[in-house]
Amino acid sequence: MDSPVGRRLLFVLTLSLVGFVGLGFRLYQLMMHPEKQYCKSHSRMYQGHIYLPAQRGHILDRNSNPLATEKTAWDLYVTGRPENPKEFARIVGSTLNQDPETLIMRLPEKDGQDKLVLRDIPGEIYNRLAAALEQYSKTMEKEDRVKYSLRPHFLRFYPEGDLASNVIGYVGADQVGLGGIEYTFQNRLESAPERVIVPVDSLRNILAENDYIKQANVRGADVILTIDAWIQHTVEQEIRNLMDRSQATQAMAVVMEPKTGEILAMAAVPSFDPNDYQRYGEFRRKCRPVTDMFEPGSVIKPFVVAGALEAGAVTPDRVFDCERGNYTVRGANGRVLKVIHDDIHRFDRLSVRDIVVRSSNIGVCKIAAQLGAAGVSDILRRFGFGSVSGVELPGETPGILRSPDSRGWSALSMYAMPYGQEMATNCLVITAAYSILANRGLRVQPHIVKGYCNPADGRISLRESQPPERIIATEIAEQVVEMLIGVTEDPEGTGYRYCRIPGFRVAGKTGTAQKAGHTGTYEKGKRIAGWAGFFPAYDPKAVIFLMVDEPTIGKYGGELAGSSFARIADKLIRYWGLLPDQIEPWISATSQKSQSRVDHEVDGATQTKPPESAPEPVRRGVMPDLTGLSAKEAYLKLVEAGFRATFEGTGRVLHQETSAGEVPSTFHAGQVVLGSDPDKIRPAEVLASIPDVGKTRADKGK
Amino acid sequence: MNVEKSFVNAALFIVTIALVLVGLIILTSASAALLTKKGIDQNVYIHLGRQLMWLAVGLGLMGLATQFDYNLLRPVARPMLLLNIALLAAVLWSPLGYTINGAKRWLDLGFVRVQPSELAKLTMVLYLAESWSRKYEDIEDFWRGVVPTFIVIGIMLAMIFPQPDKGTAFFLGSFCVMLWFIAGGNIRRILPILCILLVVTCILIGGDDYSRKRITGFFSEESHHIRMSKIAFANGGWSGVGIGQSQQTLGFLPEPNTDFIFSVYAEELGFVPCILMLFAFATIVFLSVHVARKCDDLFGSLISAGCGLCIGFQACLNIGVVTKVVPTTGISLPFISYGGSSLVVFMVMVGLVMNVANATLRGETPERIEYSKRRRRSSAETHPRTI
Repeated sequence: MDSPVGRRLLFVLTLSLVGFVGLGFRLYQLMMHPEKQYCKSHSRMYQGHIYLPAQRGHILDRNSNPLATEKTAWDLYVTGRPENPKEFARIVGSTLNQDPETLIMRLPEKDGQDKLVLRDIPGEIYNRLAAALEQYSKTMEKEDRVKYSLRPHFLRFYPEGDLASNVIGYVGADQVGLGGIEYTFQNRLESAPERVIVPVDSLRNILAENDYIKQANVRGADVILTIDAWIQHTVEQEIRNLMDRSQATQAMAVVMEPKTGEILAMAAVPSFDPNDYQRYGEFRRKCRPVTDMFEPGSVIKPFVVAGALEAGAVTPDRVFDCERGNYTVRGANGRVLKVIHDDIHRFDRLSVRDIVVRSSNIGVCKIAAQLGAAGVSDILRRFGFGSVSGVELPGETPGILRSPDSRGWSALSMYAMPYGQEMATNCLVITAAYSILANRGLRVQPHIVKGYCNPADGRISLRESQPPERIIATEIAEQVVEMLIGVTEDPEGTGYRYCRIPGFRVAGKTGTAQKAGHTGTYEKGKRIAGWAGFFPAYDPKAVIFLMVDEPTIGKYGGELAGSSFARIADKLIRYWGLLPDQIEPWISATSQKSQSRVDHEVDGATQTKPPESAPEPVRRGVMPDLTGLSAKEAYLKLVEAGFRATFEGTGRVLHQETSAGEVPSTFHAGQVVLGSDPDKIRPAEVLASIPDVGKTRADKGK
Repeated sequence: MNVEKSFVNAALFIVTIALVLVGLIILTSASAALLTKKGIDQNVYIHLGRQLMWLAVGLGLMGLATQFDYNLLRPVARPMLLLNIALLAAVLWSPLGYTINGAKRWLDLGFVRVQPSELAKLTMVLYLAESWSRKYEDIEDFWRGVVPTFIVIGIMLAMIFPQPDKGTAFFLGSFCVMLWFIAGGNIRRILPILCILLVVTCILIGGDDYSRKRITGFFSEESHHIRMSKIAFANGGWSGVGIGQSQQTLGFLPEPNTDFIFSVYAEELGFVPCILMLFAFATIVFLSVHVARKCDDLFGSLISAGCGLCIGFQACLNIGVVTKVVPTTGISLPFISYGGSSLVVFMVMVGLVMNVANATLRGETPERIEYSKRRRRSSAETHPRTI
């Protein structure tokens, strides 16, 4: 067809083709060279995020045995009301042994509502539940507009049950620590939830949510405790045994490594299972070795004596009249203030050493009188009583320790505090105080956390240790330790019968405290029987304090706590493979000495010079001459002098690193070289010595 | 067998089917997002299923449209227009009218919903072709030949306008003027007509807050629709994000399966397929205009050109909207957008172009020429020169 329609058609065609070409250019412009605001900046528009609950950090013992870990549990969320709630509840309920009626009540009321229907479904049931939900969806028509999602989260799990539960604590339903380490280190253990970027639509609905729901990869830091699970178990077993044996209401124990201040075990029975903490009352759940205070009794005596020795008020050999068991304290006007008794024995005259060894209340009160009221209060405060130990556990009690200028101090306080009444403290403070004696006067900060492990890279950061602090001079501490050794070595000592460990010297002190009732007076028959001690006395590896509360069978600290101490120590010796240090009875000489001394010393007399001991070739703390001795003889002699050494070679002693007569700065006397050929002698290497105690002692010596 | 005829038919058929198939794929991708908007895992393929059903109907009718002498449409054109006006009236005033997103455009027949305004495109082409081919001599006479036709069309547009479907009404109005131009309308009359149309448009738009904002917004700030569309184009770039990977369909792009489906297409497939789609529509326009030019019969010529240009014009308008070349109007993309009525109507249009091509390109034998002359004469005799 030609004009005019043909021409006009051609015109329109050209126009429309021009339009198409123009659109093509426009597309090129929009797609190949888009304006900046349309590129990439909108990617956040497509991104939403969900938070996956993170794992809580684990709690490990010093050997990385898990004490608190995590396990997976699942929460069932339902969005929208199911078409057939009864069928849903029946299927799910039969899987989980839940009542269908309660399940129906928990289902969402209307469409679009998102509800948590079941929480903390254990991992074992997860597969069965997922299958049941699948089965339910199949029975329904396709139009069931309900979404189910099983969302994982983590639940605290304590694989060892009640082991160290008082220390570890427990977490609540929201996985927040409510006690013990779990509470103190909440911030370290917990971790921010993992943020997962998910695609969303324009209404911020998460698309394909179930594809992204998984277990979080992030985990809070692990806390590594100084607790040794094996020791903890042993101690718990032993004090549980002790509690049962004595029909007591509770028993507690603390085992501490004195040189580092690390707490190896801290136990209280009865304890609780943190996996199911709701079943137990507050008494069982709290960490009683730090939260509960009590009057410690006679275990306080050595510190008073240490104070008196330091002040120069007494010497170890000074003799006091112990009034044959009844000592009436009179005030200035002659009024009777108090009558002090000695429980079992009626002592006549005892040296300071024997007052500790035989635990005379009257004797220690007389020593305290020499020291003065302020001095008693001061020395106890210096040993840490009346304040918290500073361990990383919540709710530690500072106890009670009065000063002469504080409220509640009476003239009687002077005659009660020296044997552990009118004051109160907790187990850990006592243990820490004894470790000061074990360290020969140095205080190290007791702690229960060794370090933290970052689970992301597995790096362990150790807790910073504070430098030890000198509380009392080495010599004074040594003197007190000798007395404490006497408690177990002297046949008259309160710990002689139960607290000895064959082959090892043990230093310790019994304590049998009366218990105050609600009326404020001491209740008859209610006691706390305790024992604090450390071994081996000349190279202490462990300080142990045990106490048993209100024993009904048995009475005294020595026989109850002391015997448990001996058993625990025996196991520890085997666990650590310690070598015995005691070759001949230490006491045979010292007991004779004290007997002879008693004869010519008078109570209240000025300080007398102790008689020179028998011409013993071996003196404690002084390096003996070992040359020419066999290995066995040399070893025995060294041990008698209180040293250890590294033996090298065979034959007789050719060389000793520390020469005879020297006073070494450490318990370790270095190398002893044996051999038959003098040529073999080579310069001895200085071996690793025990740092803290030794050095300060050396400094003091110089 | 005529090579040109076979080529034109094959090309039209292939291009149409290719567009429809691409449309089905993009539609599936775009529809999924609409359903997630509800937050419910519904059947993602529900739109695809419906569209496939309409495709079957469309293919049948397209085949049917090629199988008869298009001159048989002459007597049908006016009744069809009346029927269409009746349907539009039913949409507006009968209880069968069905509203989606505040627009009452559908007729709910119970089992299906049809959109009479889509059918109006076809009926208008047929009516105008019939009307102007019959009184070809009168087309120069503005008052006798043109105004009555415009009044009839105006009635129809007046019923589409308040649905509201202003986009379609303006589209049909301007398309009507274009067909008049092709049919040989007086150039001197066209300019005043265009001016009147512009004034009417301005009054209508100015009277409506929503429309005015759209127009003024086109020149000032970016609307949300256009911003999202531009992001989709930027996302697409050279290679596209991949079929089914469009992120803009996740509720960001409005109307991703109808008006803005081209943005989804661009985002998923990239630049080159976009150009190919433009090329496809241009091919339809070119072939239909080619057939119209070849056709020695004004009726067939106007049908062919009208159908092809309607498809091309609407495609241009739609792509112009999504690329912010023209202000936003609710115009769908032929063959691609979701919507049964539109798909069937456009396929029938292609069928009619093929029909005219069959009749026209049957080979230039003398008998054939003679036949068509005779036919034109007879048709002029049988149809009196009245409206």
